[in-house]
Amino acid sequence: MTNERPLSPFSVDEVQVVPTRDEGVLRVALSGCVEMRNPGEVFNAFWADVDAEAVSQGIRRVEVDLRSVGFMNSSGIMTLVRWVMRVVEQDGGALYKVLFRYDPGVTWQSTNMPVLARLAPEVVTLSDSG
Amino acid sequence: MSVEPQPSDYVELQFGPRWTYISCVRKFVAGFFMIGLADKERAEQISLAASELLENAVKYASEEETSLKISISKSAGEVDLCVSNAVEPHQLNVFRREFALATAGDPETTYLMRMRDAAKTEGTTRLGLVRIRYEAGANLRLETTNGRVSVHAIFAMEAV
Repeated sequence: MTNERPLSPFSVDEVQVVPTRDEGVLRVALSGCVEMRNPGEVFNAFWADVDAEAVSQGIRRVEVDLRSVGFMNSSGIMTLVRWVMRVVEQDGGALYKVLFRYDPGVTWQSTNMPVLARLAPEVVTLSDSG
Repeated sequence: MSVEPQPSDYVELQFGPRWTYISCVRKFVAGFFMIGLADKERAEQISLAASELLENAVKYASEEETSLKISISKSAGEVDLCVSNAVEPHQLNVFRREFALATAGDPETTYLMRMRDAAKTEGTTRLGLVRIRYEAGANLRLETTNGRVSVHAIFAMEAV
């Protein structure tokens, strides 16, 4: 599959975001700490772009690697929640699944990822291994 | 070498409510409790509470002063993290209502419910207090005196 409209890597404050596409899977790796005053200014738009890319390109799975995110404030977590709920509410049901890779040794991840999965079990799956 | 917190240990910081300080304080608190407790998870929980309470204080403080005090009571077996700031009278009642909602019910159920509600709006999430209860396992207490609001996040400790 060709990458016709690639999402670009970017950095904001202490956060690096690297999207890649491979074999019909859209992968997004985040690193750093999400603790800016209004993460939604950047990340609501970014997750909307991820959604648009996945839908337009017929991608069936988006993998988000959070293992290198040392901390995320509640406003940052809400950008993930809003995106996941947008996927749940897509017309005709979710058009793709979301896999979160997380590190169970990082407290904010080990407590929040299971909550995200309970929030949208039809869309979210988790991987806590390498 | 190990550094054991003593019964009367406390840390107190006062500073202007600037966002850039929050990350610095969070890392300091995490480091402080990592040394004192040698418990990474507990240290991250307490520093999470410091971060979320300071974010609220910086967003809603009406004057140029925010204080954070962490008291460690060996006899009571608890850590009391308190963030206080001045607020306008009309904001005080709003905050009291928010606090009552955030501290009602089972922490996980309330957290999930607040996430669902907040996902429907683009405004302020008001998730911080609920998150402290759920993720950090802290009990929350609110004090309001002389136009100041103080929020305590109280952590039970097995071996303080």
